[in-house]
Amino acid sequence: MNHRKAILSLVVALQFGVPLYFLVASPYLSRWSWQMYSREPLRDQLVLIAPDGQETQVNPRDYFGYFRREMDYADHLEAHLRRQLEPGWRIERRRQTS
Amino acid sequence: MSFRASSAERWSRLSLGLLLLAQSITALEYWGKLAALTTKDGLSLPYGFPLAISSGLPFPSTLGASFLIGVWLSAAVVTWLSRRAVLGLAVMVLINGYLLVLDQQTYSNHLFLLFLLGAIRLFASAPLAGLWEMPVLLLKTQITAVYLFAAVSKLNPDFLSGGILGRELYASGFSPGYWTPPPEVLCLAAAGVVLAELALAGGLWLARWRGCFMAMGMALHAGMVLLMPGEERLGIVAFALACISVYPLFVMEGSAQTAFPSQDSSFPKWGRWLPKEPRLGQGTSGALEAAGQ
Repeated sequence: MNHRKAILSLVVALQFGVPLYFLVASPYLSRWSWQMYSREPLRDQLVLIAPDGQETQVNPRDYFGYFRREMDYADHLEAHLRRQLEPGWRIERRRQTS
Repeated sequence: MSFRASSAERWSRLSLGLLLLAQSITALEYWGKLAALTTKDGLSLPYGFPLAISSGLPFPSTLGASFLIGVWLSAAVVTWLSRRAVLGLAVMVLINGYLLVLDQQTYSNHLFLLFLLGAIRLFASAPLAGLWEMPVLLLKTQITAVYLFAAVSKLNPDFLSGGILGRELYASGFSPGYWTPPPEVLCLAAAGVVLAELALAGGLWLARWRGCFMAMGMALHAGMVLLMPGEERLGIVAFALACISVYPLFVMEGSAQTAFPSQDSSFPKWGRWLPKEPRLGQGTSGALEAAGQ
C-alpha cells in the first residue's frame, strides 16, 4: 500500500504546492493558482511618444484577439510595436503602481 | 432480480453529468473564443519559460477550430451515453490540455479545473487495482484547494476594499443605472466572499454541516453568475458546474468503489434508463453494502 500513499501524497502536494508557489512568488495575478478576480492586474504600461512629445497609452485589447487579465503581454507587445515604429516615435514602459 | 441503482451510483452519475455539462458549456464558450482568435488579426501570445515549448503547437484554422469544438462536444455526449467512457474522457482532457498551453489567450481557470477533474477521473479509469478510492479523494482535495486559494489570494487591499467587486458589478450592468453600492457595503460583501470560500474549503468535509455548506456554495456560485460581466458569464457558469460536480462525491462518503461506475463491467454499456439485470461484480456488491441494501 505504500505506492498508493506515495501517489496520493505527491498529487495532493501538487494540488496545494503549485498554487502556493504562484501566490508567494508572483506579485501579479497568476494562472494555475485559482486567483480569480483576486487583485488588480498590475502590469507595465506601454506608452507611445510621438515626435512632438504627445503621449498615447497603448491599449493591449487592441492587439489581441482575446484579452485576459493574467496575460503577461508587455515584452511581446513592446517587441511587436518596436518593429513597426516610424522614425521619431518612441515607446516607453511605465510601471503601474496602483 | 430487479436492480435499483445504488444511492452511491446515483450521486456519482450526477457528479459526472455536471462535469460533462461544464465541459459542453466550455466547448461552446471556446467556439466563440477561438473564432475571435482565428478571424481577428491579433497577436499570438506564447508562454514564457517553462511553457515556452508549447509555442510549437499549431494554432487551429477557423475550420480546424470548429472541428475541434465538434470533437469536444461529441466526446462529452459519448462519455455521457457510454458506460465505458475512457476514450471520451481522454479526448476531452487532451483538448483541455492543448488549449491551456496553446497560448496565454486560450487559458482560463475553469478550463484548467476541467482539465484536472477530467485527468483525475481518467486516472480512475486506469487499470490500477486497489486504487479506487484515491481519485474520489483527489477530486475532493482538488476542490478544497480551489476554494482555499481563491480565498487566500483575495486577502489583499485590492479585494478587501471592495474595489474589485464594485468594478465587476458595474461592468456586469446588473445594478439599475450602473449604480454600485456604497464602499462600506462592498467591503462587507468582499469579506463575506472570502469567508464563504474559506468555509467551503473546510466545511464540505464535515458530514454534519455538509448540506448547509453545499447550499452556501451553490448560492455563492449563483451570485457570481448573476453579478459578473456578461462576456465572462458562460465561463463562470462552467466554473460553477465544475466545482459543484464534486459536491456529490462528498455525500457518497464510504462508497468510493462506485464513484466511477464506468469501471464496473457488470453494468450494460448502453440504455441506462432501461431496467437493469446486473451481474453483481466486486464493485457493485461493495456499493450495495455501503448503501445498506
